[in-house]
Amino acid sequence: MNDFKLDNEPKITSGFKAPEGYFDTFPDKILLQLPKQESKVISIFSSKRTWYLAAAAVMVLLLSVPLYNQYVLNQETVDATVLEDYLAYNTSVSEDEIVNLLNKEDLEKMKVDFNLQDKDIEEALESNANLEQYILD
Amino acid sequence: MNHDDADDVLQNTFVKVFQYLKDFKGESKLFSWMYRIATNEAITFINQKAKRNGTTSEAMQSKIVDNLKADTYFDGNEIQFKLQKAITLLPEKQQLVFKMRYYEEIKYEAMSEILGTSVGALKASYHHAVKKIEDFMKTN
Repeated sequence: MNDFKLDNEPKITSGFKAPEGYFDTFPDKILLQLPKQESKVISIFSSKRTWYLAAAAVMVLLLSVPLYNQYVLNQETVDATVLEDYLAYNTSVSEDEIVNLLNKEDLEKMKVDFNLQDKDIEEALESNANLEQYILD
Repeated sequence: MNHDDADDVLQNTFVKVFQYLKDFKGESKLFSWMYRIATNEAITFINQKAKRNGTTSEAMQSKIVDNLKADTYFDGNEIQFKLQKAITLLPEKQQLVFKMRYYEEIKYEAMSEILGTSVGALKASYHHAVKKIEDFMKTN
């Protein structure tokens, strides 16, 4: 040991060791000593109840899809011309009855619809073979 | 120091780290900041223990090292034991620098950040420490 040089010696370690598993339990020891946090944050996905509710909601949605489709099919809109034809050919409603059902306002509207131009009237009269007869009469 | 003391200091250190983490400004590396807390905790612990026993820090350390061979968690050989003994005879600052440099192999730059001392002063401290240790090892 007379010419002891630290750098010439093989590395001398401290010789201390930690008990087995010391660092495995260390984090838990520390966590126990930490002051409790004011408000604990609870994740909405942590509770079992939430999962049951979510599953139930999904089931309800899945089951309601066929029902909804059925409902939509039943609500199919009737084509206007089909309806008109049906009313024209398949009902026993007489024209008088329809006229009675119409009020003044409806009749005003119809007047607008039948707003005939003079030209149209002329054409109609010209194409009528009995026109001359009418005039003579 | 025995294992229970080291355990106490380490626990105090980590509790402090958690408590003051929000105040950590990132001016130094996290490692340096934690190491500084650990160093302060260790020194405070030794001084408090010496005070409780009505003795000085140096006298207490010398007593501890004499009992080192009986320590369950020290399984060093003769040369390791002798080095520990030599270290306890150093002044506090030199002990710290020597342990950090020789055992922990912490770079001077990092050590400077931890201890708030210039690299030049740290190198000088280490040099003195090594000289004294080598002298002790030669004569004992």
